[in-house]
Amino acid sequence: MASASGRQLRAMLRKDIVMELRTKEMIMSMGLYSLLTMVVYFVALSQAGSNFDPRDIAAGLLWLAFIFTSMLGLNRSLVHEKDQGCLEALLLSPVDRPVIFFAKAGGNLIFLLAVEALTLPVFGFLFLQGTHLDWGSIALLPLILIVGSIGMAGVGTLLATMSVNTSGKDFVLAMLFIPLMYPLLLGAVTATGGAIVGGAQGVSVFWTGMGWVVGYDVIMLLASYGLYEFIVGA
Amino acid sequence: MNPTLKEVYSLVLTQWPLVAGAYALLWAGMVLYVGMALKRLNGLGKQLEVLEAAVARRQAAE
Amino acid sequence: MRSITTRAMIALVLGGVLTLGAFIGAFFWAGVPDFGFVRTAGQVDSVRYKGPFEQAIDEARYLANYAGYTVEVEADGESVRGELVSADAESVEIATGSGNVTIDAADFEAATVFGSEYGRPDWGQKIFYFHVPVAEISFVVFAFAAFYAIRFLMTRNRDYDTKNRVSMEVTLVFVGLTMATGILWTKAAWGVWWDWEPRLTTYFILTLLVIAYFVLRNSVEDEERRAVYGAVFSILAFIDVPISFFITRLIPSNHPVIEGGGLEGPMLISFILGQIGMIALGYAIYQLRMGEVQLQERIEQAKTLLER
Repeated sequence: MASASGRQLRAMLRKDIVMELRTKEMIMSMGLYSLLTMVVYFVALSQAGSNFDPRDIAAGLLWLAFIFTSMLGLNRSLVHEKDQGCLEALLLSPVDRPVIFFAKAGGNLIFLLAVEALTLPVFGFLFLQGTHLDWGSIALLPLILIVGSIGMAGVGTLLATMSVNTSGKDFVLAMLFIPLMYPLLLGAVTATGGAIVGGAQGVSVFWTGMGWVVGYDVIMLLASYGLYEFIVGA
Repeated sequence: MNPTLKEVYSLVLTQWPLVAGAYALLWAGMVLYVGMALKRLNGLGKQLEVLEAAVARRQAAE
Repeated sequence: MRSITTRAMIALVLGGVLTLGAFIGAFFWAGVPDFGFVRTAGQVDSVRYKGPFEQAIDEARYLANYAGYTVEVEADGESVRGELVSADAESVEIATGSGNVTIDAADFEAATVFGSEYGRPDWGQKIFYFHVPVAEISFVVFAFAAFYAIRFLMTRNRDYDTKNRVSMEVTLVFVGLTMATGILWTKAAWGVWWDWEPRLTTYFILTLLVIAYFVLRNSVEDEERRAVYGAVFSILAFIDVPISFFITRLIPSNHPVIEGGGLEGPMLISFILGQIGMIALGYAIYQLRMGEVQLQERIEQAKTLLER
């Protein structure tokens, strides 16, 4: 049974990835959106002069870009499923509901991580040139990106499954997603800030933030996993 | 008033309008909400009476 | 139907009387705790007297600032105590019980100024008898909403959905009142209207989540689906309640935390009155809204009967 679920999970993930590789719609839209965010950041910071350390605000700006691009992606990934009647077909097929949840969340996680991997170097190139970076602690960044994205993709998949069935999809998703994401965002920004600033203190701040995010992930993923069945069946 | 007392109260009494305002706001909010709920309830009760009388008349006629 | 409204009215009157009692107790009976000190020259009996503060004065001319205070000046190996009349670089004049004494400033060695120190009454604390019960009830009603949401998902009984929605409405009322009173208190106590402080931030998030619940419900067409979505979201949103409650105990925060056994006498009684009264008010509002929903259902029934 477990292997059957595993096969189903892999098949659904492959479906999402193959579709994406063919159309490249999600990566293109999310990647370009995050690039546009960088332009907005430049405008926002253009009047700030050069008296501030970009490393102090880098973490917040990064996660701001991630949360808005993730909302874009979450919305699209479920709108596709709904418009093409794919979700109904999945519900009719003998697939366990948790498998659907993990497959959708896994797909969203992969796209989110891909966009983050693109955004991070671009952000560093545009905003962090000439600042002192501690590469030892920067190496910790992928860890918080992965752990934070797991929470975002998991909770986001649940909320996007709700919001695609509402009138005013994007707004409802934002209204549900951002307040629920607050604890994760705070922990993730803390950890990312610690990793970017570096040093022994920065690393200890990083692990504190990581602790918060891991705790949030465990609680919220369990809740999302338990509640997805009701949402998808309604 | 005693000058010393005046000095003391000038230092501390800047707080009180805000605290009293908070109380007033809370009372006003409660009274307004409950009042509106009661008014709606009354209206619905009257509507129901009329409707039920109509239902009774209809049933008597049948 | 009658019985629900009767119960609601009894709870409403009880809650009104008790919260009014708490209000009177808080303002006219309970004492005012101190928040820092006020130092003044004289001694006033009607203000609680905290005892003298001492300040050594090393130069005679600084004494000029303390005219009218009781001072004890040491000069030439002797000490003179009395009310300071005047002081300058040449001489210090002190009024003692047996006439004025003038001390040559050159002989001046040290002086102690006796003033009075009064506790600074913390009027802002009065918000405590109201703001804390309202905030507590907002958490409790939210807990009921989450409980009814779980019951609804388990049984699919529409009554639980109604109870969940009405509980969330009551939560919204109490959350709004908590925010309103809290913001005014913040201005009184901290001098700013808002501070991004852990408790305020998490409570603000809670407010947004409760609003989001209604945004979600209003944008779903299908009734069955609306009920399920509302239930699921209120369970998810409830996770913020323990976070908001415990955050002041976990993270350094400016927001006051109630410690057990910190209150006694009139303060404690007023606080408990406020709490019971607020529970009764919360119950009354909940029952009033439930009665309204039931009336609406009966009206719908009567209308469908008439339309046949």
